[in-house]
Parts: sequence; C-alpha cells; structure tokens
Amino acid sequence: MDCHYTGKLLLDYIEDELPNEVSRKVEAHLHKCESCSKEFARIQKMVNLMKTLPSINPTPGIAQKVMAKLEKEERLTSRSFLVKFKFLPKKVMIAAATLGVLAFVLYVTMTPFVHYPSFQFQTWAATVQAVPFDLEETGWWARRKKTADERLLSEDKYIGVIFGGILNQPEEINFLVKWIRPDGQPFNETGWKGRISPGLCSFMSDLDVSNYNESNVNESVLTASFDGEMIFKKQKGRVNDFPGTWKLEIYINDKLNTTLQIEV
Amino acid sequence: MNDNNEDWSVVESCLHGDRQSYALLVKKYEKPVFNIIYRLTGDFEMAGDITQETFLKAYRSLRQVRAEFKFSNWLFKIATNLCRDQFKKKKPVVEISLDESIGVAGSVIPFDDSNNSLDPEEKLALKEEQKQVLDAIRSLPFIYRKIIVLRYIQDLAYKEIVDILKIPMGRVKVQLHRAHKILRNELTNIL
Repeated sequence: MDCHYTGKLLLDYIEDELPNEVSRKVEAHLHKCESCSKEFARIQKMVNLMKTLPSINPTPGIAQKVMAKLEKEERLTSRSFLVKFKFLPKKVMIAAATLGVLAFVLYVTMTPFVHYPSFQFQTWAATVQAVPFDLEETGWWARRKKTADERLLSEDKYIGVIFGGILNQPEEINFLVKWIRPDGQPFNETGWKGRISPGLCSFMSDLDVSNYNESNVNESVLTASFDGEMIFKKQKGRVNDFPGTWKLEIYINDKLNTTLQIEV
Repeated sequence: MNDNNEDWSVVESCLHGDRQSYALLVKKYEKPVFNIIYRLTGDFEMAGDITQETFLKAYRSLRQVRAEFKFSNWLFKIATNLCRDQFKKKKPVVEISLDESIGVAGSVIPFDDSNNSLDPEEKLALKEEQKQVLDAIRSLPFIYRKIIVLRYIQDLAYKEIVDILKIPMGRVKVQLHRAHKILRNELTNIL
C-alpha cells in the first residue's frame, strides 16, 4: 500500500470504517512510513479536539417555557372545534380545506340554477368583437354576464336573458320570453315548448342591438336534450331605435312569472 | 426497556392526554438539542429559541412520527432543519465567543467544563486550540458543518446521521471527507 492510497484511507481508518484486512494494511504502512504517520497524527488530533469540545449548558428554563407554551396553545385550541383535528396530518387538512373552498365556490356559482323547480333569471348585455360561429362552445355569453337592470353600453352588441335550473326528473316545459319596447309595443317573442331531460339546462334569448333585419334574434337551449318546438315571433327593427326601458316578460306555462328590465 | 423504548412510551402517554409527561423528554434532550443548534448557529440566544421551537414542533407532530425512528434522532432532525431554515432566512452574524465562558455581548455561556485532569497551562493551550477548531468549524459551509457537528460534537454514528439527514451513507462519507479537508487546511498551525 502506497502513501497516496493510505492518505485517502486515513479518515476511514480512524473512524473504524475499513474492513479488517484493509485496516491491517494501513496500520502496517503507518508503522514504516513517517510521513503518513504524521498525517495520521494530525487527523487524529483534530478528531480528538472536536470530540472533546466542551458541551454547553442550555439557557435555563427551556422545559418550563415549552410546557407553558403548549399549555397556552391547548387552552386556545380547546375553545375551538378545530381541536378535534389538530393531530390530523397536514396534507389531510389541506385537502379538506381545498374541498371546502371548492364546494363553496361551486355553491355560489351554481346557486342561481339549483332551486328546482323554480327557474332563476338574469339579464345581460354583451359585446362580441368577433362573433364566433359557435357561440355556445366559446361560452362568450358567460364571460360578459351582467346583473339585471344594467344599462346598455355603447360597445354592447347584444342584450338578452338567460335562465335555467337543475332538473332531477324529465319535465314538460312551456317557456316564453316576450320583448316589450319602451312604448309598450311587443317586439319579439321566443319560446320553448316540449320535454327536457334531467340535468342542468338553461335557456337564452338575446337580440342583436343594431341589426335591422328579421333574423336579429338568437335563442338557444343548453341542455342534455330538448325534445319539442321553439317559438319565434320576430319583427323588423333595431333595439337602438327604441331607447328607454325595455321589458322582458317571462312566462312559464302561460302564466307571467317574471318581468325584467334593461335600459337601452 | 431501552432508552428509545422509554422515550416512545412517554410519547404514548402524551398522545393519551398526559401532556405533562412531555416535560420529561424536554428535560432529557434539551442539552444535546441545544448544543447541536448552538454549534450550527453560533448564537446563544437563538439556540435557546430554536431549541424551544424544536420541542414545540416535535410535540405538534407526535402523532405523525413512526416509532421505528429513534426519538432523539428525530428531535435532532427537526433541530437541524430549523437551523437550515434560519440560515435560509438570514445568516446568523453573531460571532461565536469561544474564549473561556464569555459569550455573546458579554453574556456568560455556561460551558460544561469537566476536564480537570490538566494543569492550568495545558488547559489554556487546549482551550486555545479548541477555539481555533471551533472557528474553523464555524467557517464551514452549512452542509459540512452539520456533518461535523453530528459526527464529532454529538458523537453520532454514520447510520444515525443517515437517518437524520436523509442522505445516503456514501454522501455522508464524502461530505465528512470534504469537511475534514477544509478543516485541516484551516488548522495547519495547530496540527
């Protein structure tokens, strides 16, 4: 065994980490090599110095302070129902909290739709810069939903109403939306009559604000399935030509259920 | 019943509502935990605070720790992690006073000096050398300092260091060799 190799093994030799056979070879080399012997002595001295460093007595009263803090924590948490969960793993608590938040968000966003069998209504006005071919897929109407009775803005291109609900069984429906001009004259009607399957459904009736021709009304049903007829009664004219308060009368089963207003 | 089993039976008592029994564990391990932290941070006051935090954190996690782990090593692991976090936030700037028993800002650091076999002159020389060793340890990068403190100041076996630092045995040895190399270069005047 040469000096270079021995030098690499000296620490392991001191640490007693070498196999017996290698350890004996190192020992034999140290007996005959003064240089390695001195290096061994240096490392050994350093190890001894480190191992004999005086220990330090800790600051007094650590145990008392720790126990006092634990007692205080326990007093505070015992007032809370959360004490029951304090030993749960952190990951479980985070997962539970996340689920709670998600449930809350879901509840808030779905609230308008969950009160079966009564339907919730919301008017809106929307700008569509580039009208997509498939409005439902892009969800453009959802992005620009506004609260009821909001004034139409100059950049808005559509006004409308959307309403819906969650059905837990198939239902025969008969909805009609009547657009009434500010002067009280009927302008458009959109309706749905038929059968819808259970699940989330929504109905939408909207008007192109500045279009003049007869096809300026859009309507749609967003549901798993709607089997029935849609009713359109359209008149020529632009919404912009009739400034004032437009009324939207929503009939369910031929009875006026809700009246909404949009300022134009 | 061995030492570790005794520790875990105290932990069992704590988990069954006997919070006061935890004080036994704190008293038993406050000194080694404090020493590790003090040697890692070099700040006497901070070492006291982190020692408390170590025991508080351990208590809050008692249910999650597995009994096959040596309880003391688990505490040391928490302590070293807290020191590491402290270093990430801010490097302790306080000078370690290694001169006799005078500590930070003139406070007295109560060294447990039980080596009475040396005459005063030898004692003085030893203390001077120890001061230089501690200076050198203090100047090590944190990863090497951890290894040195656990191996030589806490006198833990390689296997225990592996458990505490959660690194492979090979890396423990490599880091120890590197730490030694740095220390030997720093301490040429006394070696």
